[in-house]
Amino acid sequence: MKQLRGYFVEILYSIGLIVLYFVVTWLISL
Amino acid sequence: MKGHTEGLKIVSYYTGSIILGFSLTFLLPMIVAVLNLDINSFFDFSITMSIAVTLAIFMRNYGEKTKSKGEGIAWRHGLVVASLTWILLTMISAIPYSLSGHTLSYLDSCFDVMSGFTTTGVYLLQDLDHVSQALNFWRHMLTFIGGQGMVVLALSFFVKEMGGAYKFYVGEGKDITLVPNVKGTSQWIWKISLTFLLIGTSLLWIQGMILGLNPISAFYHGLYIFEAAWSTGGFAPNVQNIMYYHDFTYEIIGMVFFIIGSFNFGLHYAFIQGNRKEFFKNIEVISFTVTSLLLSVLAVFALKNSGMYTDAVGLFRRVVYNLLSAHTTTGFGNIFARQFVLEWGGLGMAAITISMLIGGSACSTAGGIKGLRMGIVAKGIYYDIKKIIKGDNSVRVVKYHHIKDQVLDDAAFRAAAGIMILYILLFAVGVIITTLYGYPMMDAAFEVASVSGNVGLSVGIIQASMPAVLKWLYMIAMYLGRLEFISVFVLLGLMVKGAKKWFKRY
Repeated sequence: MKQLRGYFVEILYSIGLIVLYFVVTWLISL
Repeated sequence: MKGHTEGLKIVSYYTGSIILGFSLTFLLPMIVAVLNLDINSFFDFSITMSIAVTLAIFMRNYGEKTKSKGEGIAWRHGLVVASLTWILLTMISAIPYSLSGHTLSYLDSCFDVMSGFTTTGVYLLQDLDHVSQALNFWRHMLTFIGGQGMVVLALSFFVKEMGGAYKFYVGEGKDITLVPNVKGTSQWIWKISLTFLLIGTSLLWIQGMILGLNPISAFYHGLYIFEAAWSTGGFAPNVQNIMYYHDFTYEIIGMVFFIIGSFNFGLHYAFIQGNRKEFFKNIEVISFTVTSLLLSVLAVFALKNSGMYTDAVGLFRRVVYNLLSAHTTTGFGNIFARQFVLEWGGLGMAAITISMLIGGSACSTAGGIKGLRMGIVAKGIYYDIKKIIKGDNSVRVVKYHHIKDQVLDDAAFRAAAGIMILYILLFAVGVIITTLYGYPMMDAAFEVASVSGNVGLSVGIIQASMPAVLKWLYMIAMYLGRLEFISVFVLLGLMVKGAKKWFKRY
C-alpha cells in the first residue's frame, strides 16, 4: 500500500509540473 | 585464433538465450489475432516465432560449452551481446510487418521496428489506419519493451541470474542498480512499468469510453497510447496521432505519463521507497525543469508574437504540449507535420530542435543527450569558471545529487561531455547528409534531432519515398542514440578486427 502511494504521488508531481507550465504560459499570454 | 572463437561462442550463446526468451513475446499478438479472428496475422506471427526460436537454438548450441563460464564474460562480450541482440531482434521483429503487406520493402519494416525498439516513433507503414489489431498490438508492444530494454526483459523473466549479466545490462545504455543484483534491478524496472501500465491504461480506457469509443476499442487505444507515452515512443494507432482524439483530457493523461516515463528508474524506485524529497534534489529533475521551462517560454513567445495562438489554452495545447513531447523524446504531435515549418518560425523551430537533442533522463525510457549529462557538464563548467574568477588554486570537492550525493570529478565530467560530443557529431553528420539530398537545413536539423534523440516528431522528410541512404542513416542514428554509442562502437571494432584477421589468413 505504501509502495502504491509512491506511484500516485509521482503522478501528482507530474500534474504539478504540468500546472507550472500552464501558469507560465498563461502569464506570457496576458 | 582460439580466443577469438571462444569470444564468438560466448556472444552466440547469450545472444541466442535473449532471443529465445524474447520469442515468447510473439505469443501475445498471436492471442490478439485469435481474439480478433484474424487468421492471417496469426500465421504472420507464428512463422516469425518459428524463425526466432530456430535461430536462437542454433546460436545457443554453437556456444553451448561456454554457458558455465558466466564469470568469464568480458566487458566487450557484454557490450557486443547487447548491440547484436538489438540488430537481430530488429531483423526478426520486422518479419510480421513485411508479411502484413503494409510496408513497401523489408528495409521499411526494419526501419519501423528500429523506430519502435528505440522508442522513436517515426514510421513508414502504409495505410496505418487499417493495420490489423495484432500488428498494432505488436508495434506498441515493441516500443514498450524497447523502453525498458530487451536485455532487461530477458534478465527479468527468461534468463537465470548469472555472473556477468551486469555487462549486458550496461551495454543496453543502463547503469543504475536499484537493488544489489542485476536480475532484481531488471525485475523492479518491469514492476514499475507494469504498475504504471495498469494505472495509465485504465485512465485512458475510461476517457476513451467517455469520448464515445466502444469499450473494446477504448481499451486497445488506451493500452497503445499508454505504451507509447510511458516508453516516450510516440506511436499511435492512427495517422493523425494524438490529434485523432480531439480531446484535451486525453492529451493531458498522455502528458502525465510521458513526463513520468522520461524520468530515471532510480527516481521511480526512490519514490516507491518513500523518498519524496529526491524529486526536488535530483540533478536530472532540476535540469529537465530548467531547460524545458526555458525552451517552452521561448517557443510560446515565438508563437504568440507570430499571432498563431493568442490564448493560454491554445498556446499550452499546441506549443507547450509539442515542446514537452519533444523534450521528453516522446513524439506525440497534436499539429500537422508541416505546421512546424510553416508556423513555428526560426525561434520556435530552434527551441523544439534543441529540446529534442537534450532529451529526458538517463536510465529511463527516453533518449537524447539526457538531463544528467546536461546537469553534470553545466555544473562542471560553472565551478571551473568560478574557480578561475576567484583565482582559487585549492582543490575543492564539487558534488551533485543523483539518488545519492556523488562527486563531480574529472572522470564523471569527461564521461558526460564525451557522450554529449558524440551526440552533437552524430547530429552534425546527419544534417550534412540530409541537406546533401536537397532538403532545407532547418527541416534536416529537425528531422535528424528527432531520430538521434529518439523522439519521433517529423516535418515530413521521413516517408517511404525518401532515399534509401537516409533510411539507413536514420536507423543508425536511432540505434546509436538509444544504445549511447559505446556498445555499438565495440561491436564495430571487434567486427573490423575479425575481418582483418580473416583477410590475413586468406
